[in-house]
Amino acid sequence: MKKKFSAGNWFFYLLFCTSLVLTWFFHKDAGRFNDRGELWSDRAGYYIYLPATFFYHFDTRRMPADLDIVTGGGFSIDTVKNKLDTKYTCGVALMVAPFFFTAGLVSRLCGFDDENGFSMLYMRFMGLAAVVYLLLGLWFLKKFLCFYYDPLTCYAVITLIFLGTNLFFYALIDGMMSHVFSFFLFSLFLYALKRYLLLPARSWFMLLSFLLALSILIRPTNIILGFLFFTWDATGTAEWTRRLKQLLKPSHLFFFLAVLFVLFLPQLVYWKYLSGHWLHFSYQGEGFTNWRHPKFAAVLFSPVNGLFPYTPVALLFVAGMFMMLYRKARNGLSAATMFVLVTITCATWKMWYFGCSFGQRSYIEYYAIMAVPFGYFINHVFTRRNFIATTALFFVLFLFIYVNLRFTVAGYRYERCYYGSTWDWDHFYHTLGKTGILAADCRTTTFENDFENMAILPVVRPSQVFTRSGQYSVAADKKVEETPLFSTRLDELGYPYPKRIGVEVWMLKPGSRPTGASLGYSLNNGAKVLFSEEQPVDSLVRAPLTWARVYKTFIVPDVNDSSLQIRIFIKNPKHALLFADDLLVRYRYSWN
Amino acid sequence: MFFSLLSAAGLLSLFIVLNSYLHEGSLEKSRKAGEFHETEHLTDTAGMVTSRVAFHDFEAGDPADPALHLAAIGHTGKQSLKMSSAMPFSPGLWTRFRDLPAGGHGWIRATGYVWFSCLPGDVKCSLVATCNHQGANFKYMFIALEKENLVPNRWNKITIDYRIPEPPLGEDILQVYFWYRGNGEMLADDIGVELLRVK
Repeated sequence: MKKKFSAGNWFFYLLFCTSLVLTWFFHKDAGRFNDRGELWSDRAGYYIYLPATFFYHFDTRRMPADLDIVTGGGFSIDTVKNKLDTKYTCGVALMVAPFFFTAGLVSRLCGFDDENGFSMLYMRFMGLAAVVYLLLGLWFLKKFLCFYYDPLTCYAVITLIFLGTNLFFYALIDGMMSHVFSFFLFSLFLYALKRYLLLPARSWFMLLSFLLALSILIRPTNIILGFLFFTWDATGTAEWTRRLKQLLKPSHLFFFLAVLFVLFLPQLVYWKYLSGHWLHFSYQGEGFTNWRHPKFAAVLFSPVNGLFPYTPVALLFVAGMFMMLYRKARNGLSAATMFVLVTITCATWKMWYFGCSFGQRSYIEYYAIMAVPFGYFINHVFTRRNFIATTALFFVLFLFIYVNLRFTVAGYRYERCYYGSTWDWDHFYHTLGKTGILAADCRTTTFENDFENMAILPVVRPSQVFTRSGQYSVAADKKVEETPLFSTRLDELGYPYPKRIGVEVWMLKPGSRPTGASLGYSLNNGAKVLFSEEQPVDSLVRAPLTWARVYKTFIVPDVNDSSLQIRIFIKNPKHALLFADDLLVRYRYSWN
Repeated sequence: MFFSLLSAAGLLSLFIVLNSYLHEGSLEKSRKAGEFHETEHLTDTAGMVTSRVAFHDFEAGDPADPALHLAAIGHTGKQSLKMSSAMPFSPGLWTRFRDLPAGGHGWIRATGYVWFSCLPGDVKCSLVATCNHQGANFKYMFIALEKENLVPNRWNKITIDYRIPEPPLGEDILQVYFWYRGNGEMLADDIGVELLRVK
């Protein structure tokens, strides 16, 4: 008998086709070697294992000398030592390998130039890989959720997770980042875990071991997923202990360690090749350096890639979590613990905003787990059959989807970075205005920089010696007379231009001697200074080792050339030791 | 459930439409902001000391000498300045900030009289008050005569109030003048600048 093609199958079929069209649409005008292409920067860093293995055999002398530069610096080539250095692990490369080989086969059959794994065909196949794993992830997540909720809730949850979170961005636009692959592994892990808990067959345990090991290989912090093995669906600590004993059974433990070893073997070999050691910490200069002062508030609420400002639907995940905890529902504690663990992981990581990202991307794989409290919340509201509550929830859900899609399509599709300060809400409000989500005033009124966001750092390297807020400040350059603090072109402020700009910055001098430095301002046409003013620092920064506020209102001349550039800098003719932090620029558009 | 869905979709549409309407309004406001220039008005001069810092009645010189750009008709005297594309800038005030009387910069009030015979909207001329630092103008304020509904074929009084800003340097310059931007002719006379300071 012919099998019926169910509504569910149609749903996934349509989702697959739509996702394919969208990923093609988002990349169709992107060239191969720019930040809008599939393989750029971090994405190239994950991918490089494949061309390095199958085209170059890790011989960097056979690689184009500038391959690392033209692909955005996601890895580096050292032709002197003949080493290829990528800090990313090889899990993503393993997962996209079937697509890589298919692209190679198609290239050969059609007579295309494979360009050593960087042809347009390879790029398109990597986009396809992300879509396939996205669909599989959503499919397994739906199957998993159906153990707990009715099908309508399951479909609603996976649709909202796809359209209402940054999974959409990291599957269809930046698909070669690790998140969509981790999301698939997490979804399948949850499904396999549920099946294992229902019937503890060895095959499910083997699959669980494989999935956990691969997740760890992709992102070592994914090890916290293993926590669910002990707690999911468990009714008490006795159950936890029973599962721990189960894992510690020699056969189980041996199998898990063997899978972990086999999957990690290519990575160990690579680290040995790179550093001479089997184990190597590739994230040099990074790490969990914020463990003493975790950035919880910033990770969750900051305009710089905070979880809730960019993925407001996550508020409903948390609402569901609290609801489950309050009602002592099964798995509420597990989901909440996972949320806390991932938040701790992000908040203690040195670059807590994860560079140029769209929202808190480290949570994406955990949305698979958050789907359970989210489903709980939705189910609860819908089963109450209260018209106002249901309408309000629908409206909020639609609004969050709208915000996410608009943010993605109108904003982050072009701009991959957020160019604002940790708590600069004015900039965030204007970003919402630019993407058309809110009708923001077109005029920029302030600019803040606490020098934490590397995307707007005015100097090459920040200082960590003295800081007023956060981890970084700017140290006056000892080699040159001027250390930049801020610059902008007049056209970025829009016409009419401001009449004055109030500048406030906090400065610290370690010594007690006068520095001879000043807070400088200039309006430049290229290198030519058209207008300049200064505020001597010594009259305001008197005591050593004390942060003092330096402020001055500078005049913007009446000019017609929109290409002129406003510059704020520290003028330091004596090359004194001086630190600056927490810059605030206020634009004044009238004289009164 | 269906009606809730429909209502929510309606609310979202309302949100989007309202936002685009407000956004259009904001864009319009921003466009218009470029069309208007800022002016200042000194409404209360009580308790202020007034001193004349410049005055030009154009009575010196021979109107027959074309190099002097004088006309044989005046507001109070017998002569005035003939402004044209050959004489686009009138004399007025040109002073360095350091030469202004000490004790606060206060305001200036510049006054002049103009005569023209063309249509009022065609008088392409401005009474300008501005400061200059390193060759660049700042706090450039003006009265555009073509927008002032002046009366042709008679003397019209033009006044501009201007709060003197804190300059970056004492070397900087404070200026007041008429700038004729048209291709025809216009007469200007009795251009005076008063400095008003709080006692």
